[in-house]
Amino acid sequence: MYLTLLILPQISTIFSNSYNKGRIYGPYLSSIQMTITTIIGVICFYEVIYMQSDLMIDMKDFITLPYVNIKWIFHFNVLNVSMFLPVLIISSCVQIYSLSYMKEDPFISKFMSFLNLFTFSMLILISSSNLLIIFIGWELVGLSSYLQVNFWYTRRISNESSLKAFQMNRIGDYGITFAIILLQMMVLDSDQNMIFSLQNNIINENQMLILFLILCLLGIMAKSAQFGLHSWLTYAMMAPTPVSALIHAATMVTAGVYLQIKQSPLIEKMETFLMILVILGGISALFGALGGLFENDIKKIIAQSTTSQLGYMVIACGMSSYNLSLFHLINHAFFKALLFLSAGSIIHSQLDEQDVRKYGSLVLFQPISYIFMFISSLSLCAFPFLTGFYSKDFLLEISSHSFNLTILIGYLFALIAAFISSLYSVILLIKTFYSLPNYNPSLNKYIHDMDYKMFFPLILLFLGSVFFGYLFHDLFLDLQIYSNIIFISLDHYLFFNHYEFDFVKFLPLFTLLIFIFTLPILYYNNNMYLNNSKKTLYKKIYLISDTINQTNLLFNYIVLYSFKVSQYLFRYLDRGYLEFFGPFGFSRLFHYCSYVLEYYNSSFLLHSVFYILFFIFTFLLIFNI
Amino acid sequence: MILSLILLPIQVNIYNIISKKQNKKENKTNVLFKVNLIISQINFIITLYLMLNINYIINTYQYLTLNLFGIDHISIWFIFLTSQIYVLVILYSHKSILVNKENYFICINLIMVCCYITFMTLDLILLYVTFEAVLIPMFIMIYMYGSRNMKWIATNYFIFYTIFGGLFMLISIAIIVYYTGSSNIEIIKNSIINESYQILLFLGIFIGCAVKIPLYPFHLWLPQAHVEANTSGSVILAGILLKLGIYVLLRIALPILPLGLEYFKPFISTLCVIGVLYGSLIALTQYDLKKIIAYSSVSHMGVCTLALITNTDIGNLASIFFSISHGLISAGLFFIIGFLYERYHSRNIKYYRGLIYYLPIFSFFLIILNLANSGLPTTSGFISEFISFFIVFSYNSILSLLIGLSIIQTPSYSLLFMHKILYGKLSPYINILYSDLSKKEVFILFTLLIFIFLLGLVPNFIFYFNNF
Repeated sequence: MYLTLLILPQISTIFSNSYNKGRIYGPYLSSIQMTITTIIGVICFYEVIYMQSDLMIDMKDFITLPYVNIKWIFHFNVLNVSMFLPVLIISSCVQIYSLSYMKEDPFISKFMSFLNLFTFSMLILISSSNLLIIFIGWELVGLSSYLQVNFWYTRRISNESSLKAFQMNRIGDYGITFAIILLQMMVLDSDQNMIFSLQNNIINENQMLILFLILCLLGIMAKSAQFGLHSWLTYAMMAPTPVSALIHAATMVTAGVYLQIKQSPLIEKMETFLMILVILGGISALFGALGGLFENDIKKIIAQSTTSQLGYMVIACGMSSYNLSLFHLINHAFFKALLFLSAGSIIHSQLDEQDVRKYGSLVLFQPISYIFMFISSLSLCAFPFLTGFYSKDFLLEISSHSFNLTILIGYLFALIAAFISSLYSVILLIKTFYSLPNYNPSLNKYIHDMDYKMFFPLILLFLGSVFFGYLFHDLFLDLQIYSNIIFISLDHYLFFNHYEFDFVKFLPLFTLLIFIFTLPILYYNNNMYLNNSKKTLYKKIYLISDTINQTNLLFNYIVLYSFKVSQYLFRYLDRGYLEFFGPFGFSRLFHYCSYVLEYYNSSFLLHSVFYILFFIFTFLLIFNI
Repeated sequence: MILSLILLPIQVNIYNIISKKQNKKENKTNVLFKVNLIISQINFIITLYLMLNINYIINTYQYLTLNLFGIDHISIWFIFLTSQIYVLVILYSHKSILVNKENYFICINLIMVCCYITFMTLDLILLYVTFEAVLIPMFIMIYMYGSRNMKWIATNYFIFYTIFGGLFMLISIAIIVYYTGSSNIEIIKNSIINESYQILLFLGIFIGCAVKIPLYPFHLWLPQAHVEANTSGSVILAGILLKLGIYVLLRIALPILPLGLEYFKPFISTLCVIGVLYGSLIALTQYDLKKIIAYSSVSHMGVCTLALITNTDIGNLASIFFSISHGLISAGLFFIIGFLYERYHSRNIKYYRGLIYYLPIFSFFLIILNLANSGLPTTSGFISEFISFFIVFSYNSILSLLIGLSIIQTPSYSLLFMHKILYGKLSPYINILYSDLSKKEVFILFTLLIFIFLLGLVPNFIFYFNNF
């Protein structure tokens, strides 16, 4: 049963794209297959977590060499199985959703095939215990993202952004490849269970360990779109909306955080690395939220918010509460997928217009999309007793009670990011749903709410983003279950007091309420109209928050410079010096020599006699005296 | 058994020469093609039989015939690569080579005979002779089937570079034979050579191989020869001839002259690192499709050589794996560019745009081959790169981190040229729209892809046999 989980999507990858009949049956078959896989996944979750039956499937060897011994091992433990939930549920929801969303596309079967490829590679990434096989899944996930971003390949911008996304991910792959090599050098094995059992043999603050963690961080930064390598995520929004919901919001971008959770026994060995994680996560949470304020594209706003939420997960890892990070990952997957898919419904009805400034008053025409978007935004802002509350608010509270200075700094970043996240989600809601309509009146006849194929998956995600946190917070925040997989050293445990009244505790909630009630009023008085560029403060904030363009400048400089270097090298080395001291120069030299000899070869006897005598005398002078 | 690998192509060549003298008819050429194809397939089957029956654990030559030819666990993989490309190159000629068919087959068969002898012989002098004799049919091939007037210069480059390297190699082989009193590799392996001699001898052999591989300062002939040669010429160049250098280093330099290798290790490794970074940087701004692949093979062979000179068991195996995988992938890339060239008669990137609308199967194969070239997992490129980086890391970590930059660089140029020719608006220069890949072309690429994925998913196919 556990292997069918892995094999079914792979079979469907081939058959949903079958020749000629693929367009008619393929998509339906693949979505049915995905629901079956999801049911199996939920049964796995039940069996492994509630019945406590770990399962290890040992297949044949992959690479057998003296120092590299890698096997195809699939391990279904508590951590892996709890990652199945978001991946499988959201991919089945997205497949059913895209039956309606991509209905008019001639290449829908190809689209479904790519989605299945993605799910298959994500399952490999999750369930294998060896780091090299995780890396195979990691790369295939990146490949399917590349293919999906370039799905509408007739557009120039999607070509460019797919290339950008792939290249940025390759930087991370460089890190992960060498991290695996270092792990092989250090432990002679890259199996996660082996590392967990051998962790006492690894010396703290080892030089190899530092290099390993830095290289690992590079991969995590690239995949999870952390600050510095985060600009590819907004470019990846050129993909169709269901793909953005599945790959670029819910599952693929969390692969980096997941890898971090898996590396807990090694990360715990280094205090400074934990500090780096907290600061990095805090910065990316803050700047992601700030970037979301100033974007106008609806998908890009949500993408920036994804960066910010990923920052929260990294902060949680840095505070060494890995299970909280995992819990926030799953919760985030639910409400972010809901947000994306309901945004997709709006985009669909507006004839693919993505600019929020051109929406308005859609609450009258699309009430169901409005409800879904409203609830998911509230869940994102950690409104009490919705799903997001149980992880995000818990994170803020637990970090505020810490005695560690870096964690307090991280708390400060996270708190400001929480304010701003409620701000941008409220602005998004106002611009799309409440304000006066800005779209062309001729669009009126096209505006429609979602049909049942879109509605059914969204209601599932809706239930998930309302009740999931309440139902499962006891399970995920319990450290006892994860004690075999996640290692937390005793100094790093964070405790907090439930019953003590604290003003800090209620800060996020208060700000959220203030924003919700005051912003509409401010908005209608035109005082808070954010496109007013005359204000200098606004300009300054805008320049600071525009991190994507700032980092793009850097990367573009690198690309431009490498092109210049390439041309320079080709001109002056390959066609210049190497030619000159190589074939070209030698041939010219020989030509010159023969020319000189030809010149003095006058076929006059006395000249020849003179040359012979001259050379004889010079040789005599050199050798005999 | 193994003698038939050499004798069969020679016998076919006799048939080719006879048929050339007879009067030509329409049917005759087809028969010629079929005979050559069948012989190459028989060779491939013999190779598979040898692969299954050879003993991989013993470190000595097996199937000894005439005390001159034999195979062991190293040479069998190179013979496999040769037979694989032999079949595909013969298959390629169908409906593609229209004039001088007999000459084409004669050249191909001669090249293959030379390669088989190089990979199988125990005699050092015979090895040198065939190592250099490959030049002659290759020269004829480039000159006869080359496309432009620049081919004269390209053949000059090719000949003079290789002869220049071969001269040093000849001298050191002559000294080795004189010093040990035998030209048999098995006997030479057991004799001890003085260290100061070893250094000089190794330098001679290394220059000969570095020109063939090619390493950084000796690489100028490769892009030229690739650009001027026809498709099958470039496939043979990239697929087999570059691996001759690796084979000779593996066969002679490592076991016979280990101290010389130890002396020159830092020098060679710097050359390799420069070659890796330099080749992949220069490939960024090339306009000719074949030149991009040529520079990419300069950079890849640098990684291969660096894995080789670590002189460990894994390093040797990694270089063997790398050369097989690179042979298959770059052969596929040259084939696919050749198919494009047959249709539009241009290799300039700027000429093409938006090919994916009209050639979808072509673009499918191009995408997969490019991803394999840039080392995506599940293809053989990934395994070869990973093991090479691993073994180089155990030798020197900084060198490994430097050559690892090719992970970022390789997709940057290969995907860039792929995007340039596949996507975007349809180019205005392409007035006539040709059909997509034919059955023959799909078959050629598909067989290559099968082996690429087989080696990527089951690398123990090679590793398991070579038990330590």
